[in-house]
Amino acid sequence: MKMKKNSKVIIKILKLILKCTPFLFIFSVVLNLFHGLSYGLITLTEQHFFDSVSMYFKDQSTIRLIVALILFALAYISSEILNALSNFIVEVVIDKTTGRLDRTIHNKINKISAVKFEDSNNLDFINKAVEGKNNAVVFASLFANLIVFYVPYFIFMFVYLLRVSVFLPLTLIFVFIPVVLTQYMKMNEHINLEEATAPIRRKVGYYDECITGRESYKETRHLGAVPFFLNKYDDSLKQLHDKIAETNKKINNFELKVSFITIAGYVMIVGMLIYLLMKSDISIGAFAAIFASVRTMFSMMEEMIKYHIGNMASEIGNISNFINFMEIDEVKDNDREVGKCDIHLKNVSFSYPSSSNNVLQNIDLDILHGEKIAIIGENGSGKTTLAKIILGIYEPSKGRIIYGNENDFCDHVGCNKNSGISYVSQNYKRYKMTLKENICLSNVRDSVENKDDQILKICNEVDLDFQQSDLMQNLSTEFGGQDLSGGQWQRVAIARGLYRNSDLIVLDEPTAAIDPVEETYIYNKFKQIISGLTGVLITHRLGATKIVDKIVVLKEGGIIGIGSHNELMKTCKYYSDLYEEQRKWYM
Amino acid sequence: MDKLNIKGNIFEYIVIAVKAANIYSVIIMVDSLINALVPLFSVYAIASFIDSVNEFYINSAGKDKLVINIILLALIMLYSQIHEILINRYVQLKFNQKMDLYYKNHVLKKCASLKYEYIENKTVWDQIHRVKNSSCSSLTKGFSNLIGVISVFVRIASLMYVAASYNILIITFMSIIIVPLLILSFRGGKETFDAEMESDRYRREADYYHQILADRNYVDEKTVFQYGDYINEKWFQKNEIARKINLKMRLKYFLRMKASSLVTLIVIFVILSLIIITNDKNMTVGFFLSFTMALLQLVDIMSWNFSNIMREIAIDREYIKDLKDFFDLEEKEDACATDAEPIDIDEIRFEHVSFKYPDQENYVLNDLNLVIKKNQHYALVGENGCGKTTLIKLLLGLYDNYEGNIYINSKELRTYRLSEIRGTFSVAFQDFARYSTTIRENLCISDLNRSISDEECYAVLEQVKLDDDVRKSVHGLDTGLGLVEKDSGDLSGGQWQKIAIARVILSDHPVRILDEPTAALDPVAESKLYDLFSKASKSKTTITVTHRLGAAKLADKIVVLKNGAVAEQGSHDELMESKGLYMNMFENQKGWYENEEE
Repeated sequence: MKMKKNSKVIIKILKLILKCTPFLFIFSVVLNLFHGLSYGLITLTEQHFFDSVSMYFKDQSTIRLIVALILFALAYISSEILNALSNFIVEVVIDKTTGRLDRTIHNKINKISAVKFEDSNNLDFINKAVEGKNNAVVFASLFANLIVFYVPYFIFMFVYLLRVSVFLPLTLIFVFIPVVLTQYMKMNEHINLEEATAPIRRKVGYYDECITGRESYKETRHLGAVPFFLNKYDDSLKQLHDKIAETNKKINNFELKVSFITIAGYVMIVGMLIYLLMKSDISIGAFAAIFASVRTMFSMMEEMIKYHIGNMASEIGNISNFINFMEIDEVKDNDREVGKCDIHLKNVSFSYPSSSNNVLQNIDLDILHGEKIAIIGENGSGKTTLAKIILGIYEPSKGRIIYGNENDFCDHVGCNKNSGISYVSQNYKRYKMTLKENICLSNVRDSVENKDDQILKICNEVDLDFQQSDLMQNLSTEFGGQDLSGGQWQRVAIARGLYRNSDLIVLDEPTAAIDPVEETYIYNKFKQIISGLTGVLITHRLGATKIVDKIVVLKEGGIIGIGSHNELMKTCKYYSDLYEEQRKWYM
Repeated sequence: MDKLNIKGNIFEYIVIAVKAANIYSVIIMVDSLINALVPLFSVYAIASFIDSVNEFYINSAGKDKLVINIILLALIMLYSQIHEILINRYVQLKFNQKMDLYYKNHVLKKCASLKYEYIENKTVWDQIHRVKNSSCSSLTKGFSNLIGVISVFVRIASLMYVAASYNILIITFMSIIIVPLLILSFRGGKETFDAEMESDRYRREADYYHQILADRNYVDEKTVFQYGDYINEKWFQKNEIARKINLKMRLKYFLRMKASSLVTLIVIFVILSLIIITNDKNMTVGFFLSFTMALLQLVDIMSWNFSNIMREIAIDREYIKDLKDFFDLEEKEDACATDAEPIDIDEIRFEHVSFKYPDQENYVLNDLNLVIKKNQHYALVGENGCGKTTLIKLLLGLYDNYEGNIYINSKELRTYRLSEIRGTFSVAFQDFARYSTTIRENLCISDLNRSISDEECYAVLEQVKLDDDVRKSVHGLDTGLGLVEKDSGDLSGGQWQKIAIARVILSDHPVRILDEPTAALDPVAESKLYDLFSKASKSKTTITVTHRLGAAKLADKIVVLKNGAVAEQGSHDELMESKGLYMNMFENQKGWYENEEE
């Protein structure tokens, strides 16, 4: 059952990988095949050479020896060249394939609905997919190498030995068994070790973070807690070392025992060779050549089992992460203009994946075209989630959101390419790109050529004092640019929201430390921005609601009041209490 | 443990290894020398074996000799197996672990002792992380690469010595070939390293674009603005540039490597021909065959191993310099100590203090004068970037390159020891640490030497209204927090903030500082928390940094900072009366609550 599943995964992987760079892939396979066979050629010419050597010691025929030496040299040199070529091409294939697959992953990410990123059971599914992809590439190259290099080599050696004597191929088993046994044992031990040490590793990492992490550095030091964590760190590191040493001891003991099988096999081969030589079944040259190739066979076998098959077995688990990722449902790709119409939320509820709590419950809300509304509520009341539903970032778990006319509404499921709508997030991002890109990222569909005037005009609107020459300046020190101040970044984020062609804009209040003057400035800016548009303002600062037509009061995911400030002061006790409480600090 | 002092010399890898892993490093060195001579020994053993087989084959004599030879071969095989397990595994593991412990301990201590200004300097911070993340494997690799080079030399030299005994020409011939090969390898190593650095630059940019696409924090903007495909294209471009640089470098690497292995091969075949042509009758068939096999093994070593080692040595040379720079960073005395000796404070006086962060042009504090008196409550307010937090950082002794003077009881701050500063101020930062240890350890972490009773802890928790929650949890004060230990719970953001403040209240330090540990709270919750704090700190000096003026009202004295200097100070009423900057700010916030109709 598991085998069957694995083989399905393997076939899918190989198909995906072959598609990335088919010509090069096949070329590298062919090269590898010849490379494997060249080792056979070496064994043959080596035997011939060794025979000539032993003849030479009898009859001194230098010419034949030199010819044999040249043949042997040619075989060796051609094998070396093939080795270089095939190794190089494999690297090219791996690099190129990795790049192409990464792009495929990115394409896929772009089509996955935003809510999947909030699944707390599966937070790092993208990292796992990327890791799985890396493993898949390695797996495929190992697999190809196994099939076209090692297998032909061993078949060749098998036939070669068989032609010398029927018993000789049996000796391959002695080469084979100890390596497989150790490998099997090692894999099990390593899996156990991984499980046993993962929590310890986490501890070690955590205590390190306590001492040197940016968040805790100054505090740990000021508290005089460095030795406390250093002790904990040392203890857990030693614990980790002991666990590893313990496992290694087990493996070493086992391997020591197994190595006697290897030696016994070796002695047996030598004995058999001598026996065959005495019976005149083989020449002294063949004797020496086989004797020499036994060592190559041992190391090839070890390489094949330990490295190739061992790694393949350990990587296959992760590979399915990649395949599963590629099979996640995609959102539909239909463009939709949503800014120029009314928006109706009908009985909308929302819960995050892997959580049964409704963040929003039975929300009914109409936002008319050109209207300005504020959504208010305490921390955790669901304000931002509601905004994300309106923006189309999340889909309602229940109920529906209708843009425009009831008749020609587009069923919300899968519509994530909303145009005509813009956003200034409270967690706005500081992109490590040029100033121009930082602003134009909100509208990459239109060409940014000849837009400099427009961009500078927007900068001017939000009181950002930039010249044309500043536009191409990178905004991160990491990529050779200059960072902006917090206030400037805030304005760049607003400029970004404005640059997008939109008739509806959602403004999520910046809650991080902002001083009163800057805060007043931003609210005034918001007021100005939404004056010609449909505007949704999210805030927990109730005083700010003066700039809107309609206030929506959220509490624990439900709407408990809609109306103007004056209406709510009379009808919604929760609102008036909250307002009074905030106001009292300023009386 | 002793201090690590590095000069940046490549041979220091050996010095460090001997210091860190004493006996194990010596074993490894001696062993690799012996091991380099094993092939030479094998040549003779195999030669003797083949000859005895030959003799036995031709005239069926010397059976004993044959048996002895087979036993000898088996012994060599046994040796290499045992050697693999005993040295390559057991000793090597012990060695690695000793190095790991030694290295990490030194690096962590060094990190913890650095002058604080380094931590906020991006270049130094990156350097610290480069050193830290490289782990000790760079050190062990550096060591084994050096040993590796030496043992390859010994191996080649020993085989040449054997060949030379048959034909002296071979030595001259070999040295003419080998020296340029070595130079080629070494140059190649450096070139490869440089190319890797270059492609790394593009790779980093590509990684950043990948992050935009894959990080959940970018999802909202990516979905609304629909820039996913655009960024993907940018990623692909950068990645392709990096890949092509890499490809070119690898192509050169392969060409060089294979060129040297082909030269080696040709040399080997020439040597063999020379031996054949000038053969005196001393040489046996067995020796000739066995010697051929040994020489051919050199090809792999010369191509793969040697090129790799040379490339890595180029990296090692850079790394040890990096390490030297890291350990050369200046330290702050006493940083890793635990002791805390409170100063009995009468007043703290800032006199004409000016300060700018290292590497920055603008002064954050500008001729600041301020007096802080015992047992008074102060609030620091002002716009973003006016220097509130910087002032606190100076007070805590994080920077000492300020201009002007800060006196504590008429003695300059810089002349106090860190342990005295540590004992005087307790502080909750804006980004306060959330330690994944027990609740008790979180509370008492600055006084682990002093035993603090459960009652004391609960009394403080009660003051911040967290005592019920703690009593309810399974292990009470000993409940673990965070995800590091098994069976741990976690707290909400608000509860963590209460822990941070409780930590400050619990420590008996004379000055308590809150540097906006509550920024994420809504205004009302924040103000309430400040209220609790000031009630719990009646007989202490407190300094509260805030941008919410509602909370500042509680203070005895409000200090308004502007452009790095004190613009106004006084009680709320005084400041409102004087109709200055404070009143303007207060009215601004208040304005939102004044209904036009009222």
